[in-house]
Amino acid sequence: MPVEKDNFIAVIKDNQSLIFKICYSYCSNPEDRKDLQQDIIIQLWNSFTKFDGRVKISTWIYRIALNTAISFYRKDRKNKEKIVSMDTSLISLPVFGPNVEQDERITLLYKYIENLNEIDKALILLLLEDKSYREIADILGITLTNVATKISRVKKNLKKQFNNN
Amino acid sequence: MELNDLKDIWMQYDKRLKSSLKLNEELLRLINLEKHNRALRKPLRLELLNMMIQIGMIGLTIYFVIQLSTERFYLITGAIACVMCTISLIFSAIKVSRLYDLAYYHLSIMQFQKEFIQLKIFIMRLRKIEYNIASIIGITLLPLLVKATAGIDLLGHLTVLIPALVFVLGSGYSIGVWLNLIVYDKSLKDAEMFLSLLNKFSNEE
Repeated sequence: MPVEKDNFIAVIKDNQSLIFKICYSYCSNPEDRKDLQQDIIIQLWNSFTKFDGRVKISTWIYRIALNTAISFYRKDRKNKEKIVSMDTSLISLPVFGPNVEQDERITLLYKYIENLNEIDKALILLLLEDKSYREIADILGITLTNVATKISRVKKNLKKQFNNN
Repeated sequence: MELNDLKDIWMQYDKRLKSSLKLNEELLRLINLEKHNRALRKPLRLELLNMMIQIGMIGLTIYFVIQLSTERFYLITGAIACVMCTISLIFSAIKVSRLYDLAYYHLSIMQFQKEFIQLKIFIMRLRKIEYNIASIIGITLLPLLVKATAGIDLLGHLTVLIPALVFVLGSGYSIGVWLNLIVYDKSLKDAEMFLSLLNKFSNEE
């Protein structure tokens, strides 16, 4: 078990930025973000032994993390019971150095993502992560043609949104 | 700004995150992740508890009916209560089985979300039926319980039985209206809307 947990920690460490970005995209409230982060890690741990390597580890993480975010954080959680009870953040917030222009663009991107529905959020995140059409189709469970149609629509929307700002 | 520019900004942001984020490995090593509640375990635990209550109620009703088997009225009400509890038990067993089967580590987002939301709709529909069954159980069990535990024959005390039934039916009806309007119908509508969004998303080509 300790070796298994060490392996798990190594996987989480390698992919912590992915988990962080998903939490940030799905929860605007810092408390909810912390809960989601912990819940994703718990869901990953619970299925870690069942990971058989048939898909890439990042595909496996995306599926679990996005499914957790969409299923349990779809609506405002302020009235919902806390799913986990840890008080400390497992992945702590970074302190960035000064790069105002980039931070503004990232804030704007997150703002754009915040206004999308849950499924479109997943799509845009995968797109920004530079995933191939095949990977996006595998993670989302849609056809390649469907991915292409959606990406073309997202491109237009992004262009419109960012040229207006 | 083009998509590729945004991807570049996102990649730079990712690099900065990778160098800044800190995973609390010590905490992760210390905590027993298996002991923490999984989101899906909450409805599962609720249904398992429900099953235990139903089994207890069936056992108790059978015991009371055997005690009062010579009186036809209690035999009939007891039998109805038993049948209704058994239906509730079967519903709970179906829900437990469906919740156990739901695992999302190997499913794509569309597959899991559709299964999850369909299960949610199914569970809410069963709960609506279960609520009506609970009212029948309440009405049929009341005279049986009073007779078996306090020895009072409510049929001979209609002045007590009628107000009690009116109270049970009235409060049951009010709670039912509230549950249907505020909880089930709203949640069902929301779930159905999300399901149609999922269908639209996967069929759009």
